[in-house]
Amino acid sequence: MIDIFFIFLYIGAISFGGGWAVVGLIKDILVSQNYLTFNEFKEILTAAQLTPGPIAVNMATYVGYKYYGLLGAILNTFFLLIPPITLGISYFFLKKSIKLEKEALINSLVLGTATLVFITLYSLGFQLIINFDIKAIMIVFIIFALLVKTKIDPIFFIVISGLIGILFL
Amino acid sequence: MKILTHKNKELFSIFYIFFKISGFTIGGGYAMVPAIERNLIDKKLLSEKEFFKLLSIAQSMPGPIAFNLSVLLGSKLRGFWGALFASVGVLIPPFFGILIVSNIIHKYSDSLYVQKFLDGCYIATVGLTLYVLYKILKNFNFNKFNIFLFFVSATLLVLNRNLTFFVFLLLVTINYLYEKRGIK
Repeated sequence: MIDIFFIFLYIGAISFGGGWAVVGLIKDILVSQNYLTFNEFKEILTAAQLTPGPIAVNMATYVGYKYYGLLGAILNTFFLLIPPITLGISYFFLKKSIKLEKEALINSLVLGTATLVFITLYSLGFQLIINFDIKAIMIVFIIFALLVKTKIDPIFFIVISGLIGILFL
Repeated sequence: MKILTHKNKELFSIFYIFFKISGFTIGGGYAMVPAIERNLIDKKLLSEKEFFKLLSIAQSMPGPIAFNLSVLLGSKLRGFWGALFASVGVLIPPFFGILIVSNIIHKYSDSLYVQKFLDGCYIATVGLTLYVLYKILKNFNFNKFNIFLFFVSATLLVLNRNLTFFVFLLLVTINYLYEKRGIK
């Protein structure tokens, strides 16, 4: 069961450009390998959005806690963060020896991140499409349009959409 | 032994700044960045120019942006111990927050209402992801080459998710080499 730490180390190494790039990957790996049920995944996804902190960190903490208690939560969070910790501390030593075209690198990483976020969208949204859930798909587009047009905080949409779920789904 | 020497006080103030911002900024990493900036620059811990330089590095590292910033800033201000105090400060609020909230949700997860609430929240998450993707693509400089790369790698990953790391690395490297050639 130690695999779980290495799964999160792997996720940590690829989590460029913020958590949304890896949410789909976390779901695919953990649900398909039976570390989490789909219902548990939905629970953490919601809890993660209602609490402070990066979503990938939230997931690592919860999964570690589920399998090994408090120590597991600490260790799993740590494994997720080994890549940035290592790079962050070594950056000040490395910066003289590495010469990279910064703009080209950032553009390329953004392109990579866009691909990963697309996979997250595909992985989360697939459920709604195969169920042919018209109501849900409409809500997705309404929320998307409101996020584009207004400056309302996303947490508001999460809560309202949850209440809509209780009343209409 | 005096614990509260001047140096230690500075470490605790680094810890406290990051703890406070992490605990009271809802809305994820990008909401925290301006709060961190304001706090550190107001306290004259570093200049605006230095801050934005570290921010651009934090964005090109794997890991959550607020966490990356805390490691880089802590490390710049006070070396290893600075990085440790800043990053622990950032992590404590989400660590206990998620354990408490997810335990409450899990306790009532048999209830039909909670299930329906979670289903509703899940739908909102899909809308939010669509928005995140839209924002990234809107600000991106597309050309024929990177559109092609995007579609090829997205198709590969839809077919086989086990290739994620490999495809990501290849995509970034190919695009980097291509753009670099263009610059020269």
